[in-house]
Amino acid sequence: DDELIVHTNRQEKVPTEEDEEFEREFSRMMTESMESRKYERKPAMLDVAIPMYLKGSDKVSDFLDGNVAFTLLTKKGRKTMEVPSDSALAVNTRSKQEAEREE
Amino acid sequence: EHACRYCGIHAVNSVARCVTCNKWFCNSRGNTSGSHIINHLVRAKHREVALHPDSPLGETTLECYSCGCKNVFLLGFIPAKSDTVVVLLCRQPCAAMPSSKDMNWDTSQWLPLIDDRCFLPWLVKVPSEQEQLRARQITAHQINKLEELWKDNTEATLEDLEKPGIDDEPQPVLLRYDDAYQYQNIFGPLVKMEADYDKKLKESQTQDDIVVRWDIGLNQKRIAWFYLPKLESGEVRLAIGDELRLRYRGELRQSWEDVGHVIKIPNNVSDEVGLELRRNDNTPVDCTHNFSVDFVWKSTSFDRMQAAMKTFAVDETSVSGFIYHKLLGHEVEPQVLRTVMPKRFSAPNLPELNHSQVYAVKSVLQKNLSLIQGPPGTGKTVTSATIVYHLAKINSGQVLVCAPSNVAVDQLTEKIHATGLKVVRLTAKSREALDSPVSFLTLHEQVYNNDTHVELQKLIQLKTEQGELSSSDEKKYKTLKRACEREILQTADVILCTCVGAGDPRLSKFKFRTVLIDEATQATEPECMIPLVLGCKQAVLVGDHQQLGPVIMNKKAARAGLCQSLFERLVILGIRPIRLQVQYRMHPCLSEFPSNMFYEGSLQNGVTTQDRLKKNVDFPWPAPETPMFFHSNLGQEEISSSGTSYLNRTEASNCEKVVTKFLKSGILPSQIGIITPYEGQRSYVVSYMQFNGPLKKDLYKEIEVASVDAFQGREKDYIILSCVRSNEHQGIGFLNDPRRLNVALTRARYGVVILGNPRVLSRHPLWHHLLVHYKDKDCLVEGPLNNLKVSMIAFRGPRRAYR
Ligand SMILES: [Zn+2]
Ligand SMILES: [Zn+2]
Ligand SMILES: [Zn+2]
Repeated sequence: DDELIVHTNRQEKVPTEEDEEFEREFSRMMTESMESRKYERKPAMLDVAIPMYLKGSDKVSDFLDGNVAFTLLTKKGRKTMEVPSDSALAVNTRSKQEAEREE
Repeated sequence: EHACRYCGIHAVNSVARCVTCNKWFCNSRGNTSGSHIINHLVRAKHREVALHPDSPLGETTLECYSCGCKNVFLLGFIPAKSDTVVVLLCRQPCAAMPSSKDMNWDTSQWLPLIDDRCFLPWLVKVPSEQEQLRARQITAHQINKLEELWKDNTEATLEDLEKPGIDDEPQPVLLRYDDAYQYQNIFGPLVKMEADYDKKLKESQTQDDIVVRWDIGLNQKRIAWFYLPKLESGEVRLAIGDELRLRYRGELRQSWEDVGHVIKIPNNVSDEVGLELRRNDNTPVDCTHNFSVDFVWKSTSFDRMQAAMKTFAVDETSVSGFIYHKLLGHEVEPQVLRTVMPKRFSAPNLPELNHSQVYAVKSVLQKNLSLIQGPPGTGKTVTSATIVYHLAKINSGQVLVCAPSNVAVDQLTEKIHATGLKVVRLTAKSREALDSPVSFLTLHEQVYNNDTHVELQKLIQLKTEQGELSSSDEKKYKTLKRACEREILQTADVILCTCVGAGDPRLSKFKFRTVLIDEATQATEPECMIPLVLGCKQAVLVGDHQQLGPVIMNKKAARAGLCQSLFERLVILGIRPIRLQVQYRMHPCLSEFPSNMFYEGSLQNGVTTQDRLKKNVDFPWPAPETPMFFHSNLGQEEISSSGTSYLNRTEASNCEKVVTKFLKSGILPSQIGIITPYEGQRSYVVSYMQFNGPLKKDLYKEIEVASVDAFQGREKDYIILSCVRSNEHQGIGFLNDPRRLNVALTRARYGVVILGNPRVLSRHPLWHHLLVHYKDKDCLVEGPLNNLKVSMIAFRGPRRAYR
């Protein structure tokens, strides 16, 4: 495919009244969400086990087009999720794994 | 169809479904500052999201793996310590667990799903630039409209926005009106819009899962104490006297509900709400959990405004001809009253008046309609009280004195009482139980304490002892009470109540030809009409249109002009307010900027530098004679990691340091006030100080932290202003209002500390002026408190002309 170049007259965006208001509402949503959990009882422990077969799987080099495949545990089972290898999540996990291997 | 309801983008990996309303939205920002899905969630107040079945993760509802919480604003990924495994956890409480050694998960790496008001791009793909350009271009304005439409018709589309009728703005207010019918025809719908909005808002604010602590008040009534998280968002306001309905729907007993009125709202001491219940029987005091709270909407104040406007239109005796035409903006020959001037202008037991105050009193006494502008600290209340004193002495009949807020009415009551006049303070029934310094002047207390009606006294005593009366006694009691009330009101020189209170049925038979309204710039026009239409011939409005105006919740109504006070309109019509010109509050260096910026430089100082310098206070003011500084807080805001752009941790921490320094140098907590425009920052500062301050918790607890609006009309010795906004791309929101800035800057008597980002703030003309002012005085500083350095920061200057 040839790259399509579209000329637009989108200019540097000046925040409008609506933007500011949206942002305020967004902040409210955040606060309200946090506040609604303020009195939620803390679980004694984070009781989430990692299934054995996923443990220690030395698949650091699970690269797919510059992505790292992570396994997402959900209540409906596990799913594979591709995370860009330059994302904080991928970078941190990789460096930790490498550190561990050196031990 | 899974196409984005805003822009039509339908790639399966770029869209997500709102679980609440089943509509699909994409993760592109288009022309707005948040992605479409986030825009929708925020606008519609929906919180739960599912991914498309054909997307890489398949049909997945986003939820906390541990507790099942589905609120996406709380969810984030937690990685395993050593494996490429992640789970979704809620930020509170699940991810707030400290990460322990033997745990597989690293909770410190919690990564929110929403980053920069957009879902993480690898969870929901952001459509490419080209896809976005091909899609329907929708503006933030259209999004708002569409969401508004969905509230009535969930299937409405963007095309429906074009249909006539949808976009109808109400008829805006005018400067002049042909007659009182036209006046009513314009204000009536605005008041109704505001009422409808208020009703909808209140009634949608039910809060479940309330945990109640039971108590019994001194008056033997049941009191329920609980936390109301909804208040923190600032969406609903709760005031003392408001009604709430408390319901129990748990399984421990049969369902129960009762209405009560609020006797305490969250403050710096505790966030608890106190609700005094109406009934005492059958209260589920053995239960603590599974309660719900509804806001009970009352139409009283709106009904009274509508009634006042109707009276204004149909009843020729509601106001004098002069006032009638003046209020409508007609040209009328000025009338000079032939008043016999008092020999002394100051009133007994009130401070001596200065020249501009005397001038104000003099001219008020000679005119039928006057406006008095009282800039901060200029002795507005004393002037008002003195005016009322003279009006009561000169005119026959009683003077009605009102203000929009109870606080202001109480202050005036105290002052006017001091002059020796016979005053009665009329309060709403729901506020009768509240204690105030002027309780003994309230109508109900005066009835209670009267000793002339023996039979009524007996019944009152009986009622107190038994809790209730037989129905025949109750009937008798009511009749006697009414007669006693009327007698007390009739013999009073001055009757005081809120503007809305002037519509109380107990005053319906009264005529007041002399009316003074204080804080008149904080009342809406229809609100001001309530006291005026009781027969007004001479009106005095006191206020300051350079400070905050009335609060209107409905934006359409506000835009149409409901937020403009009568005082302001009369000023625009050419009635010159008499300005009080000597301020007695601020250190002269603190009044300089507000005087120049908001009062044409006309404010004079009634206090000297010496009066306002505290000796022995060891505080590092950069210029010792000038107790003020602007502390530059440049630190990048942590919006992306927490998603909470409304709070500014750097400023909160600096705020604590300033406070600690003040306290250490012997300043009392009650002398300090912290102003911040955001509710999020307010509660953050409160808890931050208590948990991180090196001094005793209680000291920090006593410091009042509140919004600008809450500080209007009040003062503190020292004020710290935390601006919060430090975002390059967004506006500065609340701070972009000159009147709010004026109020914030004029609360302090001895010193002001402003914490903010000069780079961001200087792009706004008004703040640019302020920063230049601080810089000129060598009061723009940076660095730690024990080593403040004059900041060399260059401002970029205003970006666009001030609106
Ligand atoms: Zn929805
Ligand atoms: Zn879209
Ligand atoms: Zn959870």
